[in-house]
Amino acid sequence: MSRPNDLLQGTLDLLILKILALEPMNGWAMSLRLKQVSGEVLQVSDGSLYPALHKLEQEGWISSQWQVTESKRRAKYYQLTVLGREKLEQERAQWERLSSAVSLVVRLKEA
Amino acid sequence: MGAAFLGGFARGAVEGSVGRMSLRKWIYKLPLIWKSLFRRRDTDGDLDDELAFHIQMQTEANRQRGMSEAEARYAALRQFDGLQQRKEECRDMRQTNWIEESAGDIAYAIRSLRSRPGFCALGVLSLAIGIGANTALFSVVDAVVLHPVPLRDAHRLVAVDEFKDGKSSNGNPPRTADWGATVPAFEAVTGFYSEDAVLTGAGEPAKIATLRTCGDPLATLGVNPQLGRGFTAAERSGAGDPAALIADELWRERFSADRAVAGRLITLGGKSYTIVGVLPAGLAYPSQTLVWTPMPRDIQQVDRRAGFLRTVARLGAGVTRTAAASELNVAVAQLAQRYPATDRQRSAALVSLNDLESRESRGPLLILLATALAVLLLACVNFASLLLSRGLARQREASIRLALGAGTGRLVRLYLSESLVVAVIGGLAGVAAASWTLSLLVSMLPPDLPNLESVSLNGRVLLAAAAMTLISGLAAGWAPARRVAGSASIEGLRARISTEGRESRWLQKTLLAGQVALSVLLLTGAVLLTQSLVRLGSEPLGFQPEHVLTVNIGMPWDTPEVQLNHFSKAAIERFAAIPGVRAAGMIDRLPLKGGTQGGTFSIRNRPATDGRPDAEVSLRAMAGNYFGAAGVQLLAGRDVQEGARELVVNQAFAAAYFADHSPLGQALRINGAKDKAGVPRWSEIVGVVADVRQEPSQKPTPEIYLAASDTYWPRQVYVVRAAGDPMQMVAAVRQAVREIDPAKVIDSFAAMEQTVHGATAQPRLRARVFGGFAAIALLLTALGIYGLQSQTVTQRTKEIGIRLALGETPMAVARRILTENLQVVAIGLILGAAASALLTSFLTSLLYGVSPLDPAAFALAALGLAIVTAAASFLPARHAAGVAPLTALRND
Repeated sequence: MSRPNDLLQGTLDLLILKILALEPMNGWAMSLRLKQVSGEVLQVSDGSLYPALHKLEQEGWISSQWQVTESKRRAKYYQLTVLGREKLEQERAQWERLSSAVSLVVRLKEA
Repeated sequence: MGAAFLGGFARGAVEGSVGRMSLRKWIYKLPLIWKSLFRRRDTDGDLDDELAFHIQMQTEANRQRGMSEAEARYAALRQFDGLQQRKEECRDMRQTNWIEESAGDIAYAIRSLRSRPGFCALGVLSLAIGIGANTALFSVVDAVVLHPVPLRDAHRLVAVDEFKDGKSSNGNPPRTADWGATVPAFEAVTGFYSEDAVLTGAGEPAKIATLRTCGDPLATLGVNPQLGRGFTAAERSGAGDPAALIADELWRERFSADRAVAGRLITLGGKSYTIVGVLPAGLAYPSQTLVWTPMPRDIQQVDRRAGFLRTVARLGAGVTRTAAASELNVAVAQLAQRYPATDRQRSAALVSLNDLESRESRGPLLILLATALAVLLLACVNFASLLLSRGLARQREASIRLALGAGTGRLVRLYLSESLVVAVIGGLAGVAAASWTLSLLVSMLPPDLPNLESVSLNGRVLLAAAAMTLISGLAAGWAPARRVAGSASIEGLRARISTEGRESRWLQKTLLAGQVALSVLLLTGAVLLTQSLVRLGSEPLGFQPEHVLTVNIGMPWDTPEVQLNHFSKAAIERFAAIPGVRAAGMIDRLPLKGGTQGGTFSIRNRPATDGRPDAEVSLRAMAGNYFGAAGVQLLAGRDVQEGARELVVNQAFAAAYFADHSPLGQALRINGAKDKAGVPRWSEIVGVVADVRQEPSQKPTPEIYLAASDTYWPRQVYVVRAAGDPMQMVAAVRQAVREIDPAKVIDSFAAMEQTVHGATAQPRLRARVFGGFAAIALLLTALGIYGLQSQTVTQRTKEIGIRLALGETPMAVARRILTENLQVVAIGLILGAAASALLTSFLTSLLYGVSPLDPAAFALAALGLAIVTAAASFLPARHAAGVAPLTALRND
């Protein structure tokens, strides 16, 4: 039972944007990819993925369209918009600032 | 240090780009909003399809891992952690949801309110009273205090307040003209005074209010004639033919709205004026003047020491009052140099004309408005506790909604919409009530309030009412909605009896304490005002108003003294001769009407005590048998004899200046009087009369009564004492006046008892309004107390049953259960008394003979509340004592 707030605030957004930056994808494929890339460390329930996708779409960072999958089923595919690309850059910069700051502090402690 | 700086810089840059981004965001957002608003079925269908696809894929994946069909599907669903809740979350992300949902919420709220009409009616009623009272009062405040001068760009109009030797004085025509020429900040300046002039030649003679102007009244006040033209420069200066502008009202009444009226003549006070134009309809400043005419040249060039004008200037666009005031000060200083004999020791200040007009009415009106706001606050608190007790009964329903996928925020919105619906109905009812009672309210207010005729429910007032409605609905609904939504839980479903949280109990008690405090505050105010009214009514009047008719006949200010005296002598003789009249006399101003002629006096053979030769005193001019007619008791000596140098003083005068011996036989010199030969003129005190109350709410001051023939004063009020109903004398009095002078206009008749009644009208109105508000507050509080007590009894029925079964007496049980809530009342009482102690000082100006901290008032208010509390607790207490133990125990 992992809810969005189990993840670091905003991290799920960053992950989704990053994955979509590589290629357009439907929700199902994305849930597989999330599990695959983040392994056992970050558990994202299918339940929290979709609200996050819808939020990002409302913000104008991703857009969606219906396409037919390889297995000939209709599925909703998401892709990054121009705004989304900018947002990803910001989020990544911020993440790096944050993580380097955190690791700095952690190292201080060890010394 | 450097890193922190760079970090800050980077953040700034990012925020900047976010700002730009928000605009472009709409390119993506708008189609989505469009789609979710107007093609909702598609949007929801899309969501279902999207999630169905996911579940199908997951199910297939699970089956490939070897699960059975049912197992695979169940596992896929479980991974969603509540499919319906997730769908709702996705819908929440759309941000347009609330529009559709609100419509649904409102429909739901209306349905649920209809099933509980009593609850709905109670809420609507209390909010309607609160919002209605505030709307009506705000419309008065809006017209009288916020926009008292209904003229174009009234914010640019300033009144010039003048001072001579630090004392306030009125304006002077030559000085007004000088300011118009030398103060650049003034776009235009005018000075004016108003007087009554008899209009003849156009129908019945009538006395009409006439505005005498200097300077440029039209440009200053921003008034354009609707017909004809304004005054020319020559006319404005009083040179040339006398010109007049007439009011729309006069034009319609006397000139049948003749469009060719310009050029016609009217006669005012025997002098003929050419009508040059008609003033616009609805002109309400300066109030009630029917004719505007420039002052004659000799008045415009009067001595610079005279002061009788209200001076008004229009500031240039964008000029501040401070800037204008400093320019004015420069002009004042220059004039002091140029006219040292008359203009030294003078100063002037600028007051916004709006402020000036509303100066006197502001305080009492704002106090009333504050009181009404307190009632609204109380109504909200009452409504909130109603909602809360209703909400607690709905916890189960809330829990079901939560289980079915509603978010807490969604629940709050649902319950808030209910309180909003009630508030909107209450607001509409309140505005309707305000519009019905507005004319009644206006008729009860003092008629001399500025701009009273334009009081209406205008756009600003309606906007304020709408804001009050929304704020009331949200404020009253917020905490209860949060409580109910927050306390709802899946576990709540399992509990057989909904358990009430400590916190909601606390909230309810806080609300009750607030209610009690507010009603104590209002009650204390009402008691204080009632006490003042009683004190006021029990003060001796000093005269006997029964059977007395008063006849008001004003004379033009320039009436020669001989003519005045001749008329009054003839009138009194004729009035006294009317059958059924016991006595007739005349006085310059009626008792209780306020106002006085100030004067100075010195006492013969007594040196001045404080270095000043003359002391100040109020002078009253009288003629005929005034004391007999008005019923003023002669305490010593006799009335004055016509033509003799005699006068009468009142008891306050005798006490102040002749404390240890009789004033009779002493001589006074009034206003430094001299006879024709230049010898000081002394008059003998021949009588002492009882103190007459001249101002409704002031103690009598020392007064001297003189024969009217001794002192010039063109205002005349005749006082006629009849054997029976005084109003029966009206026709005979009218006839008598016509016989003396057919052109004389009688301003008004009144029974003196009416005057007495009218003098206490304002304090009585205030006491009634406050009392009414306090009564509403008490009623609402009683409902609150009753609600809390009965709820407590219901919730603790089981406990009561156990206690009774164990042998406690019914009385003891009732006491135990109910005194707990009484502590809350006590806390509210203390808070209310403390608030009253802080706030009643604002009432000081409205009080008479009672201190704002009068302990009796506080005690009475507390007593009133205690009685109400006891009454409201009686039924619940009886209910508690009457619980049958076995039934209560079984009741689970």
